[in-house]
Amino acid sequence: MTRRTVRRALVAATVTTLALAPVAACGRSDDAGGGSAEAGSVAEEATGEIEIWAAAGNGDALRTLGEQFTEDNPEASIKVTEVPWGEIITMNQTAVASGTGPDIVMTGADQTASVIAMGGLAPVPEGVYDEDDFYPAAVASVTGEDAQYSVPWYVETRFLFYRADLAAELGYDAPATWDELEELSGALAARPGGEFGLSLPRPIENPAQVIVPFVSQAGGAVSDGDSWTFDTPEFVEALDFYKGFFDRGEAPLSETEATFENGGSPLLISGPWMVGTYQDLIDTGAAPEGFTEDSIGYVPLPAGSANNDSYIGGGNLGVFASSDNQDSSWLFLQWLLEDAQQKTLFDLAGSFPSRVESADYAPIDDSPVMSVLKEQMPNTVETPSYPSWSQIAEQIGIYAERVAHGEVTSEEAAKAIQDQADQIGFGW
Amino acid sequence: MTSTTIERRTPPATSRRPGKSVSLAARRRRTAVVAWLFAAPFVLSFGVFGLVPLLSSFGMAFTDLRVNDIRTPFAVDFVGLGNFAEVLSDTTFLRALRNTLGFVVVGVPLSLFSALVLAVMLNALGRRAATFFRVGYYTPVVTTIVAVAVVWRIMYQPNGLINSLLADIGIDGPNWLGDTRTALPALTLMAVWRSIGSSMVIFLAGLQAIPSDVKEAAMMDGASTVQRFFRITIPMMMPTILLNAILTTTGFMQFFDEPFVMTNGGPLQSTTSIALYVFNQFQWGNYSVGAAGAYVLFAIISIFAIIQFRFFRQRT
Repeated sequence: MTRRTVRRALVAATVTTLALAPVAACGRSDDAGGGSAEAGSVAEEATGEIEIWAAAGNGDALRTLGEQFTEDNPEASIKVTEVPWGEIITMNQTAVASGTGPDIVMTGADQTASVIAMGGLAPVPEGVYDEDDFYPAAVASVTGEDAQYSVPWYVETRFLFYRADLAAELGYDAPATWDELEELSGALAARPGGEFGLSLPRPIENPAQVIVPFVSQAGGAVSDGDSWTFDTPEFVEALDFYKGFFDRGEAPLSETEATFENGGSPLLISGPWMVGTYQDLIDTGAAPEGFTEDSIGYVPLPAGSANNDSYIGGGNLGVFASSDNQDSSWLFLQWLLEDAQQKTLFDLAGSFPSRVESADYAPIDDSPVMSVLKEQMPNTVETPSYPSWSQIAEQIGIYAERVAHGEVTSEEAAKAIQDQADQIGFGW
Repeated sequence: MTSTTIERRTPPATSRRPGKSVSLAARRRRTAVVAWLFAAPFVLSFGVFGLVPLLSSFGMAFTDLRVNDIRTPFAVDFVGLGNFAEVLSDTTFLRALRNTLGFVVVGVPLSLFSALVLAVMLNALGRRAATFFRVGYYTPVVTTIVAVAVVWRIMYQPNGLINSLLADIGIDGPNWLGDTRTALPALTLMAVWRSIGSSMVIFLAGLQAIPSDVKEAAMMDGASTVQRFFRITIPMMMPTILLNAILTTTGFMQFFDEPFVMTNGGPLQSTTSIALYVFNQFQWGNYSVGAAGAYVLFAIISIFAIIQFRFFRQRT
């Protein structure tokens, strides 16, 4: 053997070893990945630094609340870092893989399951909060396969916006049922100068966020807890309802210049923040002529055959599994969920309390939009809280688009989504 | 006297002769050590940040590693070619493959041809004018895609700039990004616009490297402009064209930015690409499937590069 062949053999061996290192050491242990850790406890008094990753827009409220908390817990300090919503999953992945992260992480209700599955969050100890005091759909979003791994901090939901002035001109009231919604949508689109009726999230805009509530309104659900249930009459009914608006040309299929304020899209499903957006347009004079405060109507979602469930979202807070200040962090979260702090949060950021009794609060009842939100809240359906949901939602989007274009029927789409979902599973 | 001349003429032969003397071998070893020392910073950083991730991702493609395993990345099962089978039987991937190949087959020649034409034109221009246009055509390369996307999206709107121009000459323009037939061509056009600048600069350098005496000699022999272009410029540019072809193809195969910011793969998956597919798999936490998809893309890019090398070798 010459020296060159020796060297070549060495290089080849090194390369192979490196490439196969993950493979050679492989083999799953019987210990299930996420959620085997034991629940910690709540501190009597908080000490040390509590570092929080807050989702964008929530930093100031947390800082202010943190200052109030440290008045009673002088040994503790709160450090808040804001993370963009879109970065939350990636930041958590990096933190979990490296084992170094903050003490508390905030996740969106639709992101929590993914972070739980990574094994990033510690189970909620006894006594942090009583789930019976909170909206059930919010509690569902913090529940993992075997335990709860976060606490619901605030909730948000969607309701129906309609052009009250245009509807009144045509002699319509706010729609309360699917039939009335279809009728109003058709009438608004067909009126002189009208363009569209109800605008729905387009196929690339995550239509699952309206389809899941439609399924619930039809009396169904997309999961029974053991497996995905898409191939159901209720899911088909929901898809048909969704598809109808595109078939009749009342919902735009691609980018359009029709908006709520110019009357092109006089109906839409959205959240309370839109009221502020429209108010700004009016205040700055950017709104088209004739668009005033009286134009903006909002009511709870129209009901299907079963109910008028809407989508629920919100912000959850969890304690990071690798945190070395868990007991103090749990005390802070326990304190945050108390009635007084839930109300303070509403005052500070306008975030709707996840604790049911805290919504009985004068500033909420006095605000027209918040009272509609409060009326809608008991009728909500959670985003399926499974790690694979974003992948399933993508499949729903793909097939919803094909249904809207008339490429496949709702029945075919339901079967195809069921097949895909069965393959993907829950992702725990 | 004679021997010194020979030595001077072929010095490497002497120093490469093995085992001539002990001192020579020792010197050679020392040179090697010094060379490795100089190379060490690069070799180390490339090894740690390049080779190790590359090889581990290759290994990962044969396991069932998912996001749930990131705390214990070695406690996973070996699944052989399972991920590759899954990727290659996924209808979304096959659609992405078809879109990407269509994009490359149309986009790369279009980009190279336009860049070459522009380079030849700029080369013929005066210095000041050339600089002005060079900056102009290169600007898209250095502009961020997110800002550019906003402008292009406005231009592609049903009643945007492009369609109102078309309306002026009596053509009823399509809904560019909303129609399955026009979305991919629309993104291709945008990608070509973005990539022309860098190819053009490389072509310009190639053009300027052609010795003027060759052209002058041809001119003296009475060769026409067209003859000079095809008989001298193009053959002498072959290495540059090969380089540009490989760079552009590789870039276009990794079709990602445009669909990601403009269409998210829609409508009806008509603009989804392999890179977008891989990205989504990683987003969903299916790391090993994503890695397998990435290596399929790597294999396709390598095949394209080998074909291009062969093709251009024969012509030079």
